[in-house]
Amino acid sequence: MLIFTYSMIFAITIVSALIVIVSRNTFYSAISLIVTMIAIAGNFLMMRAELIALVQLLVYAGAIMVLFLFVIMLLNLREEEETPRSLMPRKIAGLLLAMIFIVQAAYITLSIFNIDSVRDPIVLTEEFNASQEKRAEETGVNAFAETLFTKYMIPFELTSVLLLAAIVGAVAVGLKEDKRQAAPDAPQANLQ
Amino acid sequence: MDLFDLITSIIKGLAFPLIPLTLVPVIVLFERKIIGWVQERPGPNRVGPWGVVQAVADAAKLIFKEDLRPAGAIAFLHTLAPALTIVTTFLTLSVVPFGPKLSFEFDGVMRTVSMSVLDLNLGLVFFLSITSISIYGIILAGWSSNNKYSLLGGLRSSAQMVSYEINLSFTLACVLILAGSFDVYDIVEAQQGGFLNWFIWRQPLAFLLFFIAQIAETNRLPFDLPEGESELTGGFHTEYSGMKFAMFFMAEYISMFVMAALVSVLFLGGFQGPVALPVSEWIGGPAWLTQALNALIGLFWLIAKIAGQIFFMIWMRATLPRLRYDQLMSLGWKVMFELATINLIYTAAVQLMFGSNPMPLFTIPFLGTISVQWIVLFALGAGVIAGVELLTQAYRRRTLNAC
Amino acid sequence: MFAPYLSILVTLVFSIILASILLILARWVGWRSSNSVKSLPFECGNLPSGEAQKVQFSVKFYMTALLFLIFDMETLFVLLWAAAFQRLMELGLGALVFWEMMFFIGVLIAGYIYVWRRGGFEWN
Repeated sequence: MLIFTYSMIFAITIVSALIVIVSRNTFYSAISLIVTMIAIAGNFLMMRAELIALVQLLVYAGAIMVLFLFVIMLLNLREEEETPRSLMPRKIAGLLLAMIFIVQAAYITLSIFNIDSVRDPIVLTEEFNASQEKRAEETGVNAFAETLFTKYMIPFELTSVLLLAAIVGAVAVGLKEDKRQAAPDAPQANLQ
Repeated sequence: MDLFDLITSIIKGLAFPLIPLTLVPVIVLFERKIIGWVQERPGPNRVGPWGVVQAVADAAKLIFKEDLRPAGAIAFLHTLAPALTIVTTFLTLSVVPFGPKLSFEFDGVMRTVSMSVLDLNLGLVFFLSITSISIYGIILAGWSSNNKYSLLGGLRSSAQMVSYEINLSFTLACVLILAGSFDVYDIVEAQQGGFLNWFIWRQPLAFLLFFIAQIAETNRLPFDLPEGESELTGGFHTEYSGMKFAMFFMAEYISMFVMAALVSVLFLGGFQGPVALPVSEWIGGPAWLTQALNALIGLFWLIAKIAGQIFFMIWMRATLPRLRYDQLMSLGWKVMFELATINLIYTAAVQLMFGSNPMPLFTIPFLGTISVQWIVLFALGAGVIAGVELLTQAYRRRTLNAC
Repeated sequence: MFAPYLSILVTLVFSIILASILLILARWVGWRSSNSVKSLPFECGNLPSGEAQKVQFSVKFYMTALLFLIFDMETLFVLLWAAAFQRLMELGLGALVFWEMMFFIGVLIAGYIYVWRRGGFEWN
């Protein structure tokens, strides 16, 4: 039962992520990216990281994807246009990134599950469940907040500076035409 | 996970969504009648005695209506949008506690069951996440219809919901400081012991802001810019007809119900009555009877509070004119965000200085603990009224002189 | 382990079934007759001019979404802080955490005032 749920969520994550890159229609890509984000929240939930799962929903599926959709609507991107430029550099970069990813994934998998000794899958599952329960306690709101506001106090404060930079950037990008609008007003004022 | 969890989960998951679902026609009739009375006309009175069957007739009509889809619309998304809206609305319902927790003996062990669909200590975060996802139904409806009014309505609606969601969360934070938990049951418990302990007395400003923000979130008048008939015909659901339109309509009324329930939980003591009466103790009887009675009383009070708020929302709809879009945005981003931030800092500072105990400084005999916020709020209100009065008088005098 | 989520799954399935039933009703019960004029997008009786999805709209919507994203992040930290505030006060961290959050909000209020003064909240 649990295995079935895990596999379902993993499958949805991977399939929707594939649709994002395969689809030619930008809007469909964005929508399947929303599905991916929700499925990732499901992954976090299966790891008993409830708070992170909900934050994933709130920030990624809720806020960031709204921004994506707005940008897509704003730029009227319906069909992806053929790029005349060569795709070779991108392909090489993609291959490199994929290799790095595979090495990392293999390293993590091998370091968690000791492949050398063949172990009983039931014992392994029980151990896994126990560690998950422990993690669920560690990621409760109070414990989370306590760590965040004491141990990681400085990164937390720096987040505010980062967000401030984002605000300034948003204003710089979004309000560019402000000066142009202000200019024609000036002669009108002179006329009066 | 055992048999007990399975049975209670299925019962909870099916029974609680049915409560608002069955109440939707009642609320619709209620609304049409009240607006009729406000405008000095009888309202629906042809179908059945006093127009009671009107909602059923409407539903039947909507079922038999033709399902139109404009040329050039994206068929799949056009169908998905109302379904998504209604599903997310039902998911937001899952945090509402309909009554006190029940305990049963099962297999020799005492087990407790919450009277909400989702018994999670992160309930309110769940609510906020689902609310933020519910925007997609509207964006998709606007985008897929191939209609300019729909697109603009969907955009306006999502921008509006997004703006007021921040105010919603900020005012929610004030209540969280007082209750110290994301769990709705903890929040209700923190308001135990009669109506003087309700958070509305300690957080009047937060209550006001939350109420306004929730009306804007549900796109009700006077904030129903996305469907302002004079500008955008039907807004994002211009191109929806028949049952698909009914789905948006239902979702709106269910989310009204959910939001009102949430306001009750956060500020009006949830399922608790205004006076803590041990009714079930007076009647006595076996434990299950007491529990059933408590659950029913809880449900009654919650529904009563929701009904009062929905009446108020309908009253507002009948009375207030629609805002302009720039007014709406500046209200959300300038006025409400500012007030919410100030209120948050104030609440945290008071909590830090005086702790959870009510401040002795602001206790008024016989009235209990009245927050200093009320005094400030009343002073501000009086100031605004006096200012408006003076201004109109000055204006009148000037126009008279000009004549 | 996932017992609390079972009921939400039931509600999810219930609402999906309800939505499907309503959509099937919409598809099969109502009669349909279609012609080329009837299926035109509604534009107050005029013939629609141009494609709807090619309409240009204000960059303000994008600005609003971006500002929402930023302030939503702030909200998230504030909510966490608010819910854990009593517990942190019990641990004797009240004043520290309070001033931490004041600094955090203060920095963002600086940004907020900047946006206001640049006219980021004006919709004219």
